Amino acid sequence: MNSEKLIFQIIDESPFPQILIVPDYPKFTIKYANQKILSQLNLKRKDLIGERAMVYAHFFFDEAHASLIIPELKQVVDEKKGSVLSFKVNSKGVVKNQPIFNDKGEIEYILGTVTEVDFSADAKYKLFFEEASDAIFISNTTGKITEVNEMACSMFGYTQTELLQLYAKDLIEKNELKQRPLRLDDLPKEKYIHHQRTAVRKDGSKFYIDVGATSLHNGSVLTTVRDISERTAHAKALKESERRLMAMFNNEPNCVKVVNQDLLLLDMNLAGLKQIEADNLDEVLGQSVLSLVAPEYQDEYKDTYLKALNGTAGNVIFKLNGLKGTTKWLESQAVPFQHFKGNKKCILCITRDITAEKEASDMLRISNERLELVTNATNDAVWEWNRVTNEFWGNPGLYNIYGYKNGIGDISSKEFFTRVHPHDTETIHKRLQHALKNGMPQFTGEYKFKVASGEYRHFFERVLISYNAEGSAIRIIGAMQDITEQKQSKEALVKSDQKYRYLFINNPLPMCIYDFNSLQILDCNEAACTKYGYTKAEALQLTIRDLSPSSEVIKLEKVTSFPVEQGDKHKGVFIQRTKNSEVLYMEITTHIIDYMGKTAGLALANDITEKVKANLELQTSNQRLKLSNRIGKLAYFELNLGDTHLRWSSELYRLVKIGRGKKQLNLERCFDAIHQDDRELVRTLIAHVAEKKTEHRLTYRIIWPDQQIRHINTVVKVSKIRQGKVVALEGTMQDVTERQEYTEALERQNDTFRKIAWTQSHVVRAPLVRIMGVSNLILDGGVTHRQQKELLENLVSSSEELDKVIRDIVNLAQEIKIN
Amino acid sequence: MANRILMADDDSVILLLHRRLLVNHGFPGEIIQFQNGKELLDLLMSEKETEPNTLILLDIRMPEMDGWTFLDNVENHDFPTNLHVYIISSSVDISDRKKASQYNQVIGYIEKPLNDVMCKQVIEKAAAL
Repeated sequence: MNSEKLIFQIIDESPFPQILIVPDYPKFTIKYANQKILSQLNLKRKDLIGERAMVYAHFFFDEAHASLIIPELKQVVDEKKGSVLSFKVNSKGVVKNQPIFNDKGEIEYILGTVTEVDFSADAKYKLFFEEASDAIFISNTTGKITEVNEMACSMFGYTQTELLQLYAKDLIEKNELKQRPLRLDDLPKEKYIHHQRTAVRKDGSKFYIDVGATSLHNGSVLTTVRDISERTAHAKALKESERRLMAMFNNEPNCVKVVNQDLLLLDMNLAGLKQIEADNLDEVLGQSVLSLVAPEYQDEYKDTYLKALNGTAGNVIFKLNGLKGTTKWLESQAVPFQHFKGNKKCILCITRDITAEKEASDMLRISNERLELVTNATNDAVWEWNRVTNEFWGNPGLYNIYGYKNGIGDISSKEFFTRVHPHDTETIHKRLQHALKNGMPQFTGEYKFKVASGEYRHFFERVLISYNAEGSAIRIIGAMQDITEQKQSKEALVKSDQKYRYLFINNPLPMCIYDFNSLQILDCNEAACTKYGYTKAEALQLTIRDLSPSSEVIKLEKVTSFPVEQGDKHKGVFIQRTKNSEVLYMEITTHIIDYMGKTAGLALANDITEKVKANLELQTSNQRLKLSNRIGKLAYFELNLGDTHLRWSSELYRLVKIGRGKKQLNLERCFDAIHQDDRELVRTLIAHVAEKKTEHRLTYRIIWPDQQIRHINTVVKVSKIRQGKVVALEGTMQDVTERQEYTEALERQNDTFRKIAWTQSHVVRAPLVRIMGVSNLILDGGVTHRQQKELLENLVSSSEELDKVIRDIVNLAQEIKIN
Repeated sequence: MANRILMADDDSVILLLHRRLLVNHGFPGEIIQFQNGKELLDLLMSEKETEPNTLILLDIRMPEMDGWTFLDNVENHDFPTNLHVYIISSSVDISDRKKASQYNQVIGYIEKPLNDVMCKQVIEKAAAL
C-alpha cells in the first residue's frame, strides 16, 4: 500500500492547517503541508517542503518559543506519542504534534495540526507556562531563578515562592555540579544547548533531567527541564508496543485490499488472503475480485465499488465463495484511493467477515419470528414491563386471561396485583423486590390469579430481568403458565401416592419393589420383613434372587427375561426361602411399574404354604379315596335332571362297563345296562327321591357286555335345588354282587336253619308236650288204673319218639356240615 | 257266650288231655274233636244255621290241612257263625306267633301243653263271647 499518498490525501481533506514533518532530528524536515496552512501563511508549498521545522515555527512563534519546536518534536520521536506546543505569541493557535507510524511501527512522519484559538497575549503566555509538560525556568546569568511554572514546582517538590529564592545550581546534584559546573553566562542566543543532568528534589531524591537552555534577548536564561528518569523504561515499553503493533497488524482480522477500476486486485494483507482462502498474494494478484462474489451479489458489489472509485464511499454486504469453496458473508467498506502502484484511481477496501453475525442475525430473526408465532399461539401469557418508560406489553394470551378483547385493557403491574390472590400478594412482592435488590437475572414463582371468569386459577410464572450498567432493572419479562390442571393432577398424584404408600407400608401381605433388570430390592414393607425374617436394611441389600432356593432361580429368571411394559402383570407360585432357610410357598403377583424412572416390579406375595400342604394332603387323600373306591368298587355320580346327563367318577366304568373314558353319559344309555326287570325300579327310585327330597337306596342288577349279572347298590339323594325345584341328584353306586351272593347264601342257610328250628319246634316238642301233659295228668290224679296204664304207655312211646327226633336232628346237622 | 269248643289236633293224646282239662275246669258246653283242619272246615261249611259264637282250639301242624290253611279258608268264606280261634301249638317259634296274629279270627296263641291257668282263661273267654 502507498501510505504516503494516502496520508497526503487525508491531510488535504483535513479542515485544519496541517503540516507533515520527517522525524530526522535535529532537522525535522518539512515533508508536506496542506492548502489550509499554506493559505494561512500566505506561502506556496515549495516554500515549505524540504525546509526545517524551525522555519515553519518562526511563522507562528517568537524567536524564543519557535526554538521550542525542536525539543517538542524530539519528545514526540523519543516517546512516540503526541504532544502539544500550546502557545504562540505573534499569531494565534495551538500546535499539536502527532506521530504517524509505518508498517514496521516506526514513526514515519510527525503530523502538526494548528488549531486556531483566540488567546490574549497574557493568557497565551500563561498558557505556555501552565500547559507546558516541561518544567520551565527563567533565570539571570547567575542562575537566580526569576520565574517558574507549575510543572517546575511539581517536578522539584517546591512551592513557587521557594523556587524563586533558589539558584539553578541548587537544583543540581552537588558532585555532578563540581565536575560540570553551570555555564549560564556563555549560552548562545537563538540556540538551545541540551545536556543531561542529575537533579535533586526538595526531599533530597535524585532524578535524571534533560535540560535545554538558551539565552534570551534580554540576557535572561530560559531553561526547559524534562524528567527523563522513565525515558529508558519508556523506550523499552515503546519497543514492546511496536512489537505488539506489528503483531496486531499481521494479525489484523479484517481484509485490507486495493483494487483498480476494473476491480483487479493490486494489494491485499494476510488477513485478506486468508479470508478469500488464497495461499499467497501471487495467487490472486491482478485477478478480478468480482469472481469471488456470489453471482446474485455481483451487481451490487460492482456498483458500490465503482461509486467509491468516483469519490463516494459505500458499504456492501455480500456472499463470498472462497477459493477453497467456503461460503462466507462479508461486509466491505470501499473508499476512493489515488495513486497506488501507478494507478491513478483505485479503491481501498476494508472487508470484514460477518458470517457469524449474519447467522446470528438470521437466527435472531427466525427466533423473533418464532417468538412472535409462539406468543400469539401459546396459551401462556407473556408480558413485558419497560421500567424506564413504564410501558406494558402483553401477548394475546395475557389479554385472554384478563378477559380483554382486541388487545385493549389495563395490564399494568397495579392491575396485576389486584388480581393476584390476597394470600399470594405479599409473597410475590417480596420475591420481586428480593430479585431486584440482589440483581437476580431471573426468578420463578407460583400463585393464584383471578382470570376473566372470576375464578382463581394456579399459575406458574417465569420472570427475566434486564439491568443497565448501573444495575437498575430496565426491563422485566414474564411468562404466566396456567398450571391449574397440572396442580390438581399433581395433588391427586400426591394423594394417590400417599394412598399407595399407606397401602404398601400397611399392607398385611408381603410386598416389595425390585429393579426389573438387576432384581435388586428397592423397597419392601413391614409384612415382607416379618415374613422373610430380614430387617429392612438387610432386605435392601438383597435381590429377589436371594429369596429363592437355587432350584427356583431358573424359573424366576425365565419370568423376568421377557420384555415388559408398564402395566404388565405376572402371577405365579414360587418357592421362597426365609432368612432362617424356612421354605415358603408364595403366590406372587407382579405388576410392572415405573419407580423413580426405573422399570420395576411391584410384587405382592401371598403365603399359600398351608394351602399347598393342604392340597398335597388332599391329593393324597383323593388317591386313597380312589384306591378305596376301587377296592370297594364304589363310584360317585351326579344326575342332571334337566338334560339327564350323568356325570361320574372314573371308577364307574369298572362297575357298569359302559362309557369308558367318558366323564358323563346320557341316563338312557345307562338304563341299557340295567337288568330289564329292574329298570322300572330305578326309574321309580329317581322319581321318588326327586319328589320326596329324601335319601333312598336300592339294589338292582346290571348286565355286563359278557352277560354277567352284577348287583349294584345305589344310594341316591338330592344335590341341587334351584327355586325350590330339584335339578340334580347325586349318589354312589357300589358293586355288591359278591356280598349279595353271600347274603343270599346266608339267607338260604338261615332259611334252612329256620326250617330246622320250626321242625324242632313242632317235631321235637310234640312228644315232649305229650310227656309233659301226661305227666301232669297222672300227677293231678283222678285217672283210673287202666287209664293210668294207657297214659304211662303214651309216656314211653312219646319218649321213644323224642329220642328218635333228637337222633334225626343230630344226623341232619352232620349232613349240613358235610354240605 | 260260646256254647261249644271245637278242637282240631292230629295228636289224640293231646285231644284227650285238653278235653279232660276243660271238663275238669267246668266247661259246660259241647266239646267236639277233629283230627285235622279239613274235618273242622267241613263241619263249619256244613252248618246252615247260625251258631252265634264258636271257640276253636286249633293246632298248626296237622295232616291233610294244617292250621294256616284252615284259617286261610275261613277268611275266604262267609260263615254264618262267629268264629274265635285259639292257636294251640307245640311250636315256640316266634314267627308262628307273628303269623297267627295276622288272622282276624285268632284271639290267642297258647303253647302246648295246656295248663290249668290257660285252661281257665280259655273257659272265661268262651263265657265272655
